[in-house]
Amino acid sequence: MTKRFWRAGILACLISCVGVAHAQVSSLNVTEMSEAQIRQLSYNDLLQLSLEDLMTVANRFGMSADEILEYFLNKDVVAASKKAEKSMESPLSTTVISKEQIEQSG
Amino acid sequence: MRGKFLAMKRLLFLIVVFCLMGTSSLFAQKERFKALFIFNFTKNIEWPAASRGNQFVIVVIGNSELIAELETIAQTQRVGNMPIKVVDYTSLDNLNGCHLVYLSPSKSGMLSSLLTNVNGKHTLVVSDGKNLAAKGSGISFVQDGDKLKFEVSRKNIEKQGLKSSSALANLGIVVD
Amino acid sequence: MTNIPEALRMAPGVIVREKTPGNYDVHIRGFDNIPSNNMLLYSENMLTLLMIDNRPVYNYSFGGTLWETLPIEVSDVERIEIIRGASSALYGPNAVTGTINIITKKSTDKKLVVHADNAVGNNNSKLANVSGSFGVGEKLKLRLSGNYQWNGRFNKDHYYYGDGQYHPQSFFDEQYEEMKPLYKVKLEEDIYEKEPMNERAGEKFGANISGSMPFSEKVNVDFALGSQKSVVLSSALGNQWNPLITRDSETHYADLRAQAYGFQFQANYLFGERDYERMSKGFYIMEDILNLNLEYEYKFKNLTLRPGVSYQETFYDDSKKVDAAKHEGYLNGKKELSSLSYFLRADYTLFQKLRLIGAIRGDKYNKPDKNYFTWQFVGSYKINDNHMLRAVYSRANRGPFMADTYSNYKWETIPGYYNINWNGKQDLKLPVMDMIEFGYRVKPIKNIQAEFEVFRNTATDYSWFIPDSLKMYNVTVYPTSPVPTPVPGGLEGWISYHNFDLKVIQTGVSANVQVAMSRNLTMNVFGTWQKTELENFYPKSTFEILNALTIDAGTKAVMGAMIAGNGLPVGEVKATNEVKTTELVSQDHEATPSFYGGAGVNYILKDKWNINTTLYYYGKQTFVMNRSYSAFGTDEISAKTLVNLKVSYEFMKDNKVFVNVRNLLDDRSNEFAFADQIGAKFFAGVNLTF
Repeated sequence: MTKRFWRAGILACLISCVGVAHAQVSSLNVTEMSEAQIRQLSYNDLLQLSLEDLMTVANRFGMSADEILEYFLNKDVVAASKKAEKSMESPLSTTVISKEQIEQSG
Repeated sequence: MRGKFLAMKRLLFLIVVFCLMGTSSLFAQKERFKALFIFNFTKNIEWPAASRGNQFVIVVIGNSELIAELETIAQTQRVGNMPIKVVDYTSLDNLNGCHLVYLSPSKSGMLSSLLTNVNGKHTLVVSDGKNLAAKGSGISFVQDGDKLKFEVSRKNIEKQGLKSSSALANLGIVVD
Repeated sequence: MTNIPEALRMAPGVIVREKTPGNYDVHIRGFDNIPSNNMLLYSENMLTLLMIDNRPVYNYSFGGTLWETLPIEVSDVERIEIIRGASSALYGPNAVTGTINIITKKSTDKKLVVHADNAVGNNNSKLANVSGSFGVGEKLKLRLSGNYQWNGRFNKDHYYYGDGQYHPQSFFDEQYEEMKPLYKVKLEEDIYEKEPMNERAGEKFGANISGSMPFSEKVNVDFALGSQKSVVLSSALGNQWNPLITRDSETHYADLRAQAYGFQFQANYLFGERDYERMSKGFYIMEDILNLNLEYEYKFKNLTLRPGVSYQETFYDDSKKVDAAKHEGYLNGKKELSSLSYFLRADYTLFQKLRLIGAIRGDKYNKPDKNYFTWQFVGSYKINDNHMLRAVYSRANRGPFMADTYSNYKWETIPGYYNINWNGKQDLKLPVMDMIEFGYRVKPIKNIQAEFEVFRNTATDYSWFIPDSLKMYNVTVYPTSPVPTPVPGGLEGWISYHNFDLKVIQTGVSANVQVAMSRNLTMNVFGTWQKTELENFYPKSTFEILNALTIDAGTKAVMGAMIAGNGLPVGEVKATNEVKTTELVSQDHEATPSFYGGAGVNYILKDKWNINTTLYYYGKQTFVMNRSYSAFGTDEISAKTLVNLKVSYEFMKDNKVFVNVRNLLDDRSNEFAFADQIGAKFFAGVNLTF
């Protein structure tokens, strides 16, 4: 028993090393956002955007039909090559089930 | 085998039903962004103090999806400090006192009679289609491939007694 | 989907059977119930590696995955990645028929966001998931989550091997009471107290904290801590009477992942206790698992190299609840399985079209004390953006288990009179699978993506237990007519694990077509056709062999008596079982359905309504178990079509109400051998966000 807690303790220590550091405050910078981050923008966020940012978002998220299709059909997969790639390119037989699919189906 | 066929039949049925239902709603996302753009335009246009009333009135001609989207925005947002009222167009009469009018592509033919009616009445005319800003509207949405863009006519906006921001001209396709 | 294993029904090549409501059996591409004619244990999937954020979650005591003991639930899942086919060279032992990696949600926002998903259903089922994510300071982001489920049964009775019928709990109480003096059944515990009205299929609870901390652009640390506690009615490992048994589990884990300057380091530790069969003695264990993994990615022009090392150490200890001196447990003490692994993956792209991948991995185990090499060679050719061809040749192996390696259990069949010694073997060869696969992906138009794969898997070096020999002590032969009767003064048997010459060959095809009409309308259809054949299968069951040994030893005693004289003790006789090549058979294997697949359609109406229907189908299967005294060891599972429907309405941004119907057609047939009826489940619930 002592050994297992000793081990758990070491991991807990490693984790607490994570600590709290300092960084610049990140504002809503839509040009640098990934597709996934853009998708997480709330409706309220969209209402507060400047016209320029709104255009960026609309053309990256709202309007590009191709990108929407890509998002559903050709998902990112990491497991087959240990780094992110499109499922169309995956060297192995792979399938990705997204959180949206899980939530929508049940 | 029977089970398999039954399963396939059921599936085909479902696909057909959903395809039929789906086509009508394909463009909902576009309407959402048009509504967001329209709301954003109000931040980039200045209405004279005289035209301000109790409500900011938006009249929509010929697009019920857009009305629904604008109403969602109206629930939480204001223009200046006026609450937003979204009105479904019934006749040229209810254009009186409206701040913004949106004209859908299918109703573009109405543009000239609309312009006569709102001339100089501090109404921003937003049309939807190519080359319509040159024909008198203030702003006109244009679809460029997958991208949603808009034409701007500063002259037409000024003619209505409104002021447009520089951002609007910088980001839009300026026609004059 | 109300459960993680159920969600896997949306992917091609995965066979998911619901054993009891909420408890599942998951196989990739098949290899179910091999060997047949043995215990229900061998219908567990021991050949697929499940990971949560790359942390292996595997049951190293008997093999397989205990799905109810995952600390996370569907609401914690960001995505599930499934690799079909041998992938040990990438992820190590047990990734034989495939690998499933569950990637959990991370907090992305500094603002406090609380989600709650709750539903109630028929049979008193309840599901509750709550999570909160927030930022601490400028960089650290945390996510806390908790989940609870209570799943109710459709039938309140249980299958009894003795007569092939379902009986109420009271019937089993009588059986257990009768058997109690003979068998080691723990009847100190009142069954009714444990299982009120026998209505609960399972109850589980999990809690997790995860966080991520970017130190700089090149240094990032993620961690997760969590606990789970579960009690389910699931398939037994070795129970004599009843295929379903209550299994308890309580485990805790800590996981740390760090990325810095191309290095990726992961360390995780799990400890806890499990009782695989609450009613039988000897199935309680304490468990400790440590995994360490270090990889480095090196890029030079079109070549990416990824070398790494990995170490795993697992300890299982059953001494707390058994008398080790009497060999009451399987292990009777603390036992260790460990492995040290080293691997390299090379990924080379030529003219942006041709991609060549080679991966090789060596695993040095403490038991068996050997090196195992696995590999993977892939060639893919991108004809253009819309067509891709690929070929894979790979080898994978299963890892060793505690029970197979270390068992030293004394089964007191009749205490003081008939004992069977159950022994593991420390140098068993590990099952190995070779795979050849060809794949084609195509985007015929921009709304459709389709993929096809053809595969051939060959598995060898299987191992399982069979009786070796039987000894009779102090046999007296009585001159009964017409045949003399030998009466032993005591019996002792030996059962142990062996490798067999069995070769399992599987050939199959999978297809998956996804269609996205728009953001609002998406659908997919998929299916797998396969055929599995067994070559050189030794089909004799344990009890068949024991009966033959008893007759053999008895005959020897009678022969001995002819010399010594009737009525006199002949002393000791022994019979030994030999696996003869003439007894090996080749046959089609029918425990994997020849076709299984599904389809789904999702439709978003006016951005507020979401209508989703999914369909899952599997064909007929036959499970064959080994039973001592009955012909009721075979269960034919009939084909089943499951249709599910979920309709949700978003009444406010990120707040929804929903109804969810699973198995809409209410086909009540059992999906897993001898297990529960699974009928229509109805849920109504809310997803709330604050």
